[in-house]
Amino acid sequence: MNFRRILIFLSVMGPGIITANVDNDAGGITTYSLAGANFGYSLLWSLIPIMFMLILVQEMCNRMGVVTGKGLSDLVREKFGVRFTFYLMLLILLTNFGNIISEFAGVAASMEIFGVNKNISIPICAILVWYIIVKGTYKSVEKIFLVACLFYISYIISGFLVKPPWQRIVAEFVTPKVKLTSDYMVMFIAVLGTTIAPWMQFYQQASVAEKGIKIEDYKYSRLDTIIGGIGVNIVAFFIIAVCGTVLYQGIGVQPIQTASDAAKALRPLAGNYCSFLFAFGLLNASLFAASILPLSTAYSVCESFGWETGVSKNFSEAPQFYILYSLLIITGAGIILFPHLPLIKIMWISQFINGLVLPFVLVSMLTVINDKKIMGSHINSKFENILTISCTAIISLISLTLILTSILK
Amino acid sequence: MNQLKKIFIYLSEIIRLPVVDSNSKKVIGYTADVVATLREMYPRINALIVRKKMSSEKFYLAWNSVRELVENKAIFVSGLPGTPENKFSLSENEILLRETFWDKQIVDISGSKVVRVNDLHLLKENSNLWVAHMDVGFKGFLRRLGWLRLVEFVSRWLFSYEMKDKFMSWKYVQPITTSDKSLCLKIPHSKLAELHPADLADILLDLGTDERITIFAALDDSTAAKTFLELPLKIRLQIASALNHERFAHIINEMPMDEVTDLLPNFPKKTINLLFKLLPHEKVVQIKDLMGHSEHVAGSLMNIEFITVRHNLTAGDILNKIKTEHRKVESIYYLFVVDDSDSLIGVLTLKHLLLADPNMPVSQLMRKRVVKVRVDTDIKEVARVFYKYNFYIVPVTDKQNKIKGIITMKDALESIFPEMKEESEEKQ
Repeated sequence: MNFRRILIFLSVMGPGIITANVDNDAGGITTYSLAGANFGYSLLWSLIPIMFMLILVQEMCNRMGVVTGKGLSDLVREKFGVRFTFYLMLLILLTNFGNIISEFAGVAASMEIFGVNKNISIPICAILVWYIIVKGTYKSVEKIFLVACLFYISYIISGFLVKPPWQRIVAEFVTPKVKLTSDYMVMFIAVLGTTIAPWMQFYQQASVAEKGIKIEDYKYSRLDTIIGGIGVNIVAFFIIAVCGTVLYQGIGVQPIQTASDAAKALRPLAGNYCSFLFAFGLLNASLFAASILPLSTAYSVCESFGWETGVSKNFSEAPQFYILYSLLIITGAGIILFPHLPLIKIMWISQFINGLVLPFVLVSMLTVINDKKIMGSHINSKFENILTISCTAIISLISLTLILTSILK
Repeated sequence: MNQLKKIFIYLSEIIRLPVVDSNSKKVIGYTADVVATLREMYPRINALIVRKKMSSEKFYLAWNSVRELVENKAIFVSGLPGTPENKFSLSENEILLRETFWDKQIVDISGSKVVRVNDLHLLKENSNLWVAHMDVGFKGFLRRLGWLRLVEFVSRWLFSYEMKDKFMSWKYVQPITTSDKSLCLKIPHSKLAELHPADLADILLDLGTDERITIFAALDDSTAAKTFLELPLKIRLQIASALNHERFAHIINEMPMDEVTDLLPNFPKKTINLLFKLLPHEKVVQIKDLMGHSEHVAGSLMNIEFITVRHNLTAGDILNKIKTEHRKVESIYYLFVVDDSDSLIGVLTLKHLLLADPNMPVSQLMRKRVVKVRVDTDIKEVARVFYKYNFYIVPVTDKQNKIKGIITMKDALESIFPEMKEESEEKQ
């Protein structure tokens, strides 16, 4: 009987774990590295509430995907009409595009640590990403992605390589010293903002729907989401721990701006292995996210506009889908090849829109999931509503603060 | 002058229009939805649902109180006040157009695919309005956004490209309904019966879970069985667990035996036993018999619905037999001849039969050397037999040379290349 359960879990597993891990993309790793390098272990505690919120939000999408068998953008279109959906999708397209650029920037930076010029690495990686998705089936692509999830272990290995003072880490983790300085708060908001992003809800729900999970097997699908949420935060924990151990000398002492800066800075202090593991982790994460983000974006945009979608259809059946998907990759990768690109500024804008969109996405999710006509008996319980509504309020408030701080900066 | 007036209007030109009292010329509310009756060939607009100004209260206003409709401007009405929302309920064949169609998915019967409705195209004939088309194109999408004029102007001016409408006639529209049970009854899924089961399966794949199951449950047993076999395994299991056991047993009863034996092991023991109780006894015996074979031997592939004929019949007798039995079997092209002790002694093709003198006895028509495989023949060997002899169907016999079933080339191919079956399922 137990064996049967494991088999069911293995067949259901995928969407939750993959979505959560893609979340640790180039932007995520950068933020965690910065948190460690500038604030040591003092932000580690924040991973616990963030994990909790992440699981709560993703669980809702997961449930909607299993129950309705439809993508989130489908449901939003049916519930809120064409106008709201269109402008929401426009913003999501923009923020996702910013993210895609940052993924390719991550690919370029990490390959440069291995001594490969970006003019070679970027075109090869862009073609690879495009080819895997267009020529692969859902099943084979999911297998590749699950393997990519395993490579995040490189961060955990490097965590043990630098021999951090575990006792101090545990002490700071359990009894956090929260500083009420503005720098500290901005960093905290950035960590939260990078962990809960709007594309994740669309991607997870679409892939759950595509998988056709039965409602009886829902508990396994929820387990998938929970494991993903915990896994992603364990990786984040180790990134912060490594950077906190090796690079932390006080705020702004290490001139680190990106994840590859962190990998480079690690070399003289923690050795080649650690630096390479960090660079490899970044490469894996960026490639992984660079294949999923354009796909997820093309799916949700085309779906809500009523165009044919899906990699199982050919170009003549779903032209808009393929054009959008290819354009996102080509322009996203192409921009990186331009010299003197204001990457930090692009990141900043993309994060700004991210913060702007997230409250709308969360509120529309809450509306849909409480609609009996759509969810039947699987609507939120009162307790779930108290949790999710307060979470939405907190996240929205924080997103708003993020927007304000980025304007004031 | 009246002839020159535009005779088609869009639903988006009516929704949210101010509703004006034609006597006092005061705006009393805004159109929230439009009611249509399905009693005729095309749905006729029957009433307006008006939302009162500065409140969320709605009322129902019969279409005959509309005095004038000026698109994009206002609707002038008399006969106020209408029936308040809590006092009216839609009659048996009335539907709300906006709620049922706007932004919702429908099945395009002529193109056999699922599309999303952007707008509704209405025909204005004197004072009547009829639903003529569904607008499923990009123009409709832009019109809803309010960007149509701008985009049209740019595309004409910049690319000298005239954007085209994409309409679907009401004749080919099959609305999809789910949770609302009363709507299900008003709009039967009857138009779907025109589709080929393979297309139906594609459509079911494109829909949400609820819609998929509602539509599948509305199919008749035989169509449901054929459609079911075109679906990938995970969707089959999803549908099977959503249907009640009686209904599912009826559908299984319509499927070829070999497919049933492939399918059943995917279910829990409890479900299988329940299904066995509901199926006819002789079917259960046959299924159990087939399921007993190892999956590596011919017995696991065979289909037990085929036509056997006695050696002493004539060609004419057999043609009549085919006419009565053809429904139950997978192929009537090969006929297997047995002697009095049920041993396989010959084979006959339909071609032989049609060209032969009706009074000729079978024993003189048949080919005596029959290529066959045994129930315990390895499936690789079965495939080799197909490859060597180029047959479409090969009979399966037991040790006593009694015919037990037939194997089709498709089944043999799938058994050798299971990944082919999986791939073709995924491609759907």
